[in-house]
Amino acid sequence: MFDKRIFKKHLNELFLDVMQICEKNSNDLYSYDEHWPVFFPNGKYKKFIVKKSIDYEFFILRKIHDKIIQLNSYSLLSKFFVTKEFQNYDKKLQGTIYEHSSKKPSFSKNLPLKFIIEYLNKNKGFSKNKKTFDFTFEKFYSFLSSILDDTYVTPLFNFESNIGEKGIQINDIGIRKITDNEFYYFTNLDESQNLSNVFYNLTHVMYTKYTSNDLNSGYNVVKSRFELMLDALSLTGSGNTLFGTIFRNVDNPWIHYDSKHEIDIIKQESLFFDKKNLSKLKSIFCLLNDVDFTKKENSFLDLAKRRFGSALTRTNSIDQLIDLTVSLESLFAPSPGEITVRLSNRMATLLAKNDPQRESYWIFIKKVYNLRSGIVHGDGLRSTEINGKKYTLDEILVKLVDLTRQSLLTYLKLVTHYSGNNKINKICDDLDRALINKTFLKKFQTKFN
Amino acid sequence: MIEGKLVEVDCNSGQKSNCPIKLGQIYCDGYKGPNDVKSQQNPTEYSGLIGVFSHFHEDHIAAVRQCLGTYDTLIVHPITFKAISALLPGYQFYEQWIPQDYDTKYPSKVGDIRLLKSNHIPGSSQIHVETNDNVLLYSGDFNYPEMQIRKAEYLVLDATHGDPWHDGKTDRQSVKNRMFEDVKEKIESNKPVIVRTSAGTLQELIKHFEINPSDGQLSHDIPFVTTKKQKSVLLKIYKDVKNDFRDIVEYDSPEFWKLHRNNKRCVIFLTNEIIDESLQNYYTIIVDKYRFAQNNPAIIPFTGGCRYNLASHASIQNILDYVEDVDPREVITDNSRSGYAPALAKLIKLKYPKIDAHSSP
Repeated sequence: MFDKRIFKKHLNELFLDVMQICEKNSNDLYSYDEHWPVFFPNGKYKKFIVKKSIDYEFFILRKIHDKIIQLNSYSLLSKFFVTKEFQNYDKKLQGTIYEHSSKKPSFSKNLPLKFIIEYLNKNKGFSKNKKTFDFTFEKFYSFLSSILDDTYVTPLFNFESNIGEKGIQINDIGIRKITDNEFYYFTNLDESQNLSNVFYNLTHVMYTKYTSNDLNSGYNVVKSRFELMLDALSLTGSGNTLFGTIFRNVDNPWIHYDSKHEIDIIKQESLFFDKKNLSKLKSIFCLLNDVDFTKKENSFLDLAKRRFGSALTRTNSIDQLIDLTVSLESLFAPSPGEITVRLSNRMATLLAKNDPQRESYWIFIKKVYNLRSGIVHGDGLRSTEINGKKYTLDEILVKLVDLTRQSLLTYLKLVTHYSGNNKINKICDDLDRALINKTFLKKFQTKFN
Repeated sequence: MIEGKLVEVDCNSGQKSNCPIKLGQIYCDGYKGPNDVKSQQNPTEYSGLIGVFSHFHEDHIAAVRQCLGTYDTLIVHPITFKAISALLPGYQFYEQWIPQDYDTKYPSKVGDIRLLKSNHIPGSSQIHVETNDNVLLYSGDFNYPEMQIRKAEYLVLDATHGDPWHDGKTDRQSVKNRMFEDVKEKIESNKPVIVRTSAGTLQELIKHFEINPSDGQLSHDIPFVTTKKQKSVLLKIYKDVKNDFRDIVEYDSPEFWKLHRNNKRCVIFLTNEIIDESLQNYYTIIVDKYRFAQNNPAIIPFTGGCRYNLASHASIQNILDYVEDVDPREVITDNSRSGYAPALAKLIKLKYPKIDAHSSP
C-alpha cells in the first residue's frame, strides 16, 4: 500500500477541487424519498419513516463526473491506483467479460469518487467538516488496505437472541443485530407495502468475510460456512432457524452490493439463543467443523445431519417424522433388515443414562418406527399410544427431534475415534456389543461423555 | 473528373480511418474531399459527388458531417436515415439526403445506384453501382445467405468478415429466442440483466423482446433501460411499432439510478463502449464481440453471464459463397477496417484462382 499521509494530502486536494465543482453545479442535485425502518426496543420491526435523501452518487457519477476527471488533482490521485492490489481489484470486477478485449477498463480510478460520495452522504453538504473527512478517510483507507475482501451478510429468520450490535464470533462467522441499512435492503422497504411475516420478527444477521480475486467464487464458499453455523444452531436448541438471501457488501459504501441464493422463508418456531450459551455453540460448531463431510466414511453422518435440518424446515408433521426417521436410520441402521430392532436397541444404548431411560427410549423408538412404517406402506397414521398413554403426533415429534439432536451430537464426538469407509458399521458393532456388555458400554461411553 | 482507380479503398493521405470505398465516382462509408492536400489544388474536383452510407454503425457513418459539407447527394436506406437523424440531431434537415429503399434504382450521371439488403443490422445495405461500362459492388457488413444478391464485376469486401475467430455457425431466430428465455428466467428470479451489444443489434433485440418472443412476453412492469441516444434510434427506426414498446428508461436518468440503487429487476441494453463498475455484478449477456470459432456453439455460458452469437458478421464459408454468387472478376478486401484483409484476399484467390483478389490500401 502507498503512504497514508501523502495519499491523504492528495485526496484532500481533490476533495477541495470537487467541492468547488459541486457548489457550482448544485442545481443538478436530485432528492428522493427513502423508507427507513424503526424498531421496537426488542429489535423487531415497528414501522418505516420517510426520509428525504439527496442522491450524491447520481450527482457525482452522472452529473459532474466528466468535470472531475479533468482535474489535475484527480489525475495525480489516480496514479496511486496502479499497484498490484488495484490491478487485481480491476481484474476482479472485469471478470471474463473483457477477456479478449484489447481495452480493459480501470475501475479503481473511480475509488476517489466513492470517497467523495460517502463524505457527502455523511456530511449532507459541500462544506468541509474535518471530523467527517477524517472519519470517512479512515474507513476508506481501511477498505483500500484489504480491497479484495468482501463481507457477506444474511438474515437469520426464526431466530431470537440477546446478542447485541457487537455480536458474537465463532471462527470466521459472526452473529449480530441487524442494522437499519441491512433491513432496508433485505426487505426492499421502499417498495414493500406488506412485509412477509418473517421480516416482522427479523432481528439478527449472520456475516462473514471472504477474500477473492473474482466475483463468483465467494457465494458458494460463504453459503457452506453459513450452513455450518446453521447446523450448529440447530443442534444447540429447539427451533427452526434459517438463513435467507445472501448479500455481499451491503454495508460497504465503496462497492455496489449484490445478492445470491434467494430463498423464501416462512415463519416457524424460533430458536432462542442466549449469548451465555456461546461456549456450547462454539463447541458444537468445532465438532461440526472437525468432521470432513465430503469423505465417504462420513457420508452417513452428512445424510443424518441434512435430514435433521430438512425435518426442522417441514411444516407437515408426517414429512417431519419421515425425515427424522431417515436421519436416525442412517445413524443406527445403515444396512437393510430388522431395522426397528436395531434402531431401537442401538439408540437406547447410546443415549440412555440408566436402565429405565433405556427401556423408555427403546419403547419410544419402536413406536416411532412403527408409525413411520404405517405411513410409508400406505396404512396412514397408526395408533400413537405408547405404554397405554395416548400422545399427539406433535408431542411425539418434539421428543423425536430432541433424541435425533442428541444422537447427532453424540455421533459428532464418536466419529473422530473411528476411521475408514466402514466407520458406521464399526460404530454399530460397538453399540451392539455395548448392549450386552456393560463393562464395554462404560468404556464406549468415554468416547463421547 | 476524379482520377485514380475505378474501385479502391481510398484513404485520405494514408490515414486508415474514415476511408471511403470508391466505386467509380461514388464514395461509400467515408469521406474523400477538399481536406485532402491534393484536392485543395482543385476544389471543384469533388462538386457533384455522391456519397452512400451502408448502415448506421458509428465506424461507418463517422464522415457524415464532412460529406454533408461537400457532397451533393447522400444515399441511405430509410432506416439508416432515421437512425442518423436520431444519432446526429439536425442533420436530417440537409437537402442532400436521399432515403432509398432496397433494390430501387437511383439513376445518376455516374451510374445507377441500388441498395441491396445485407442482413447485418436494420437498414444495412450493400451498395451496387451500374455504370455504362462496369458493375461495381461494396458489400458493407453483411450476413449471408439471407441477403439480396446481384452480380458485379468488381466487389469490395468488408474484411471484418471471414476472420476464423468469428466463423461460428448460428441461427439468428433461435438464438434470439433462447436469449429471451434466458433474460426471462433471470428477471423471474428478480435479477437485473444487462445485454451488451452493438448499436443496431441493440434495437433489433429490444424489438424482438417486445414483439416477437416465442415464449410469452415480459410484463411491462419490468423496465427496459438504454441510453438516450440508443433509445432515440430505436424510436426512429421502429416508429411504426413503437406504441407496442414499453416506456424505455434512460440510462443516465435518476429513474434508472433508483432502479440500480436497489438492484431492481430490469433489462439494461448497452452498447459495448459503456463500462460501469457498479454493473459488473449483474448477469450479463454479451452479443457477438467474441471469438465464435467454427466449432463453437452459438451460445456460450460463462460465470456471471452468457455469450450469444448472432453472427452479425459473415463466416469464411459465407464469404466464399457470397463471392461465388456475385461472380466478380476482381475482389478488393478492405484493409482500412481490418488487418485480416490480406489473408482474406489470399483465401479467395485460393478458392477462385481466376478472380483477381487483393487488399486495399
